Amino acid sequence: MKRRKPGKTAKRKKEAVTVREKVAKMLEIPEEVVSDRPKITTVGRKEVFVENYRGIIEFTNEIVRINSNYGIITISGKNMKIREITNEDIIIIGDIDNIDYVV
Amino acid sequence: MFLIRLWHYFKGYVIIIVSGLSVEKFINICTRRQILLWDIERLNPTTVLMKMSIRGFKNARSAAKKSGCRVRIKAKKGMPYLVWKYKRRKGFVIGLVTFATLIYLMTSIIWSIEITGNYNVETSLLMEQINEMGIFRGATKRSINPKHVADTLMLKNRELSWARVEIKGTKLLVSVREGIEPPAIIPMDQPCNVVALKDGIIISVRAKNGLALVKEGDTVKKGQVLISGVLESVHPEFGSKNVHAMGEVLARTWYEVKREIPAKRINRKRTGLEWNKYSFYFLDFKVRLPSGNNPFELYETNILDKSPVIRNRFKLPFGVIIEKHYELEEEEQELEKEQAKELALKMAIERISEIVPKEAEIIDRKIQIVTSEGKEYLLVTVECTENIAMQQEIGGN
Repeated sequence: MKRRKPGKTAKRKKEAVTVREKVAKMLEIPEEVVSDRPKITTVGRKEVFVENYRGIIEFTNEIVRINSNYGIITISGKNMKIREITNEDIIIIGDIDNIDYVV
Repeated sequence: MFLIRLWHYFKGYVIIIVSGLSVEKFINICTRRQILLWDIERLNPTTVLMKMSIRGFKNARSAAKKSGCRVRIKAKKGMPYLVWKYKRRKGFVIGLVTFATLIYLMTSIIWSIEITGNYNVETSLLMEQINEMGIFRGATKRSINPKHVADTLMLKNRELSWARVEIKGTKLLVSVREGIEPPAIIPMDQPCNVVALKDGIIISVRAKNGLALVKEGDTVKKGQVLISGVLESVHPEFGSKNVHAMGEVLARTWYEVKREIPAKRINRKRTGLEWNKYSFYFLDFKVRLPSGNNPFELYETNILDKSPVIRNRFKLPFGVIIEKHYELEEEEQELEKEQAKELALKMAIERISEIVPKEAEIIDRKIQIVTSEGKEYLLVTVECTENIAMQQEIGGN
């Protein structure tokens, strides 16, 4: 993944198909490997797994806001905790109610 | 999950409380610096609890400064902290290491050798042979090849039919089985005679093969041919044919035992005086403790092994041996006739049961008293029926 300057919010891209993605599609490589679009996986209502994120904006027990290249992902619920956070992914656990995109 | 936790514990981590207005910024900076954070929990609007690896924590200081947060360590967890804690306690470490090596050394040598299953072969003989192979109490377990030991024992003792050597903990278990030497069997295709095993009077002859030479009522001597394997032809010009004679010959046999009827008996009695000899032993080394010389001429000895035993089972390889010597005095006692006879009879019957073979059936027993050269003897005669047939090669004795 490309390194970005910390702290600054880069200009948001539209969900357009880039050259890179086109090539990936042609070569039948899974898109998420090459694209910088976030991938969100949920397991039941207890666990949310976000890949390709850029940083967290807010973190409380009720709301977690995560910055991505395509907007802010807002996860709301109760008793939320971050189980693990690395450069590439973040795992949030708790009683999840909503996952929203705020563009 | 468990594995990850174990890994964190192994590498060591800190539980920190971060307080400030922009805790999120602190988290972002940390993640961008490749510092792993986990179990992040919001305690109140300004403080957050999280876990962080030790290595990460060194870099986190500048991140805290940059984000304007205060970082406080709540707890230090994991192996490295334990190691640091115990590094300073040198005695403890030395003790631990010594303990571990002692345990290792103690359990890697043989502490006792146990021989079971031998009846006719002397335990001391087997022990000697085992010792010859370089195995004794205190030998290292690694130097012992159980299979080789078992094989050597089998080769050295013909009486053994099976041997197994096992190392069980610090014990060397030698279990053997003794076989009865098989009688020399004459192969079926080999011609042979049936001869008498001992003297007797024939009761019945059942020849399965061969020609019976004796009949009921005949008196036979030991070695006499009972069933012949040589079949002479009716016509002498055809010569003879040799067969493998077989059969069962029941005969009446006698066994006799003579025992003197004693006139007096020597009784030995303890005088009450005793003298003890003490020695200390460790494994097979014995050290005698000074305690003077044996003052008695006639004495009996009782050896007591006072070594500590754990739970009635495991004998420790050291201890004290007390040899108790009791002084004796002899006393002659005139025996009454009845008493003397009874004594002689008891001895005679004991002897009879030794010499009469197990297969023989006892049908009669006679007890006589004979006098010769001024002494009285008790004569016990036992009459039995038994099979006296024994195969023997033709021409042999």
